[in-house]
Amino acid sequence: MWYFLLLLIGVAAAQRSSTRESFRETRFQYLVTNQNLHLDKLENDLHKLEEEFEELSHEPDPKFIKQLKARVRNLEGTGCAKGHQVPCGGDVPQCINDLLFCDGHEDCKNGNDEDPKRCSEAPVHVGSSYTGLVTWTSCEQHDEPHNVVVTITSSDRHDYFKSRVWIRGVISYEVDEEHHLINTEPVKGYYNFGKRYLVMIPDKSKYNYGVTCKFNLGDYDHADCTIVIPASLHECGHFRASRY
Amino acid sequence: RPGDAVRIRHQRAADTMKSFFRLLLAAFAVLTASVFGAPDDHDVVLAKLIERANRLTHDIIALEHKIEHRVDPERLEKAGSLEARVEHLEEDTCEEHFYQCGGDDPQCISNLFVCDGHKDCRNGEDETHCDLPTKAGDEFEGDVVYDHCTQRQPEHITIKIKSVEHQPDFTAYPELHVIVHIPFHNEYEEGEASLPADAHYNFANHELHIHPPEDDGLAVIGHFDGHDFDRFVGDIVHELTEETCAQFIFHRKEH
Repeated sequence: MWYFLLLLIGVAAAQRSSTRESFRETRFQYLVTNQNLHLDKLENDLHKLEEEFEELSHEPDPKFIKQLKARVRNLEGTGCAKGHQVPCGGDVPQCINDLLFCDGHEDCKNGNDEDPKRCSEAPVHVGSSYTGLVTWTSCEQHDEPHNVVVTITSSDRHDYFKSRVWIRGVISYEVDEEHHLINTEPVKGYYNFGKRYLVMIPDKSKYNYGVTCKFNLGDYDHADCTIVIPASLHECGHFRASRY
Repeated sequence: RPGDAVRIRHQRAADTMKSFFRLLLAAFAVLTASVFGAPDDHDVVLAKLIERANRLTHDIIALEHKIEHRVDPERLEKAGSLEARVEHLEEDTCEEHFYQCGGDDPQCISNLFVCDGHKDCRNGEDETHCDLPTKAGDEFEGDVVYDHCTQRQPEHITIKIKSVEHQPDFTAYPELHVIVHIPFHNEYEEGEASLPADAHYNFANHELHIHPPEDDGLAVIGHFDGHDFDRFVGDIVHELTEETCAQFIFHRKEH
């Protein structure tokens, strides 16, 4: 009798606790499901916003901004005397002689003349090749622009005179598209760090043309080049060079 | 036998006790299951939930950063400065002493109407940038670019804004009192001249005019580019001939 009663009470208690337990469990699952649904909705909303954001125009390429700044700078001019004066760059304008650039001694107040970027030998690394379509304005009879390639074949920088790099190279230009005739001439010259200026003239007098390139477009992969008569620097043609 | 009966009763009592203990154990098992067993599952579920919420927060902040990067005031200021340089190269679209409202709807209004508290441009541009960039206590330090005329030929000049006077009925040209510090050294002495001077600011062309502090008639005209107000080009001019004879680039000194 005792035993039976106890058992009954026990079972009842167990059942009650188990119903409460299952109720709690259901409630918990319900809350979790709800929160998950809530998160699903937020994730969906966020995804839509991200898509909307991606549809907006993309950021301009930093290279493009650099080139734009270089173009503005070229238009503004340097404010330096003509000849061999070159602006240091930076916030306070200053001009120094181009022989003082990259010579290992700081001559600009802000030290920009020894800036590693300015003193990069990248433009004259051996094997550097610059190509473009040359528009002949004189010297050659061509109606259409033709390909021209300038390649650096050797470069040399002396420890006692570091503001120039002495180079040799070849200039090849197409003269006849139909027969695919190409003139190739050896040239020699130097690179001027201050002016970011490359000058090359024929190695021997029997050759025709020299070439000058200004790296004034914001990087060392593009330059404004002209093909010149070496004696007078008379312009025969010009091309926008890209490095390959 | 009575002894047997007692033993049986004892046996029964022992059985009851045993089953009672068993029952107790079972109840205990259920209880522990509900208190200690199940929460293991619950913890995992909750942890997943929290992880999802954290990931979502992270993604939202990432998007916020992207948006903030687009409207970063510093980048906008740099873009504005570049635009000002291009505008400087272009021909002026308004006559002298006139202000270009700009935007997609160009319009010229007199400089006198800029920041006078009344909207004169159709796009309201003339009343939107009327915070004085030179507040009392500000200091600007200038480095020489060239100098053909100053008495002391200094490398640096410091301009300190002492006080600003806003006239409530004419807000377009706030008046300022400044002190021009010029360090000097010659063969006899070294020191610093501190010259008080009156000045006014012109909102229309973002210029700070400092009237000559000495009787040599040399005034300083500071040109802000209209976007970067931490830097200005200071031209030193003969006040009578308006001829520039020295130039300093000034930067705001951080305190």
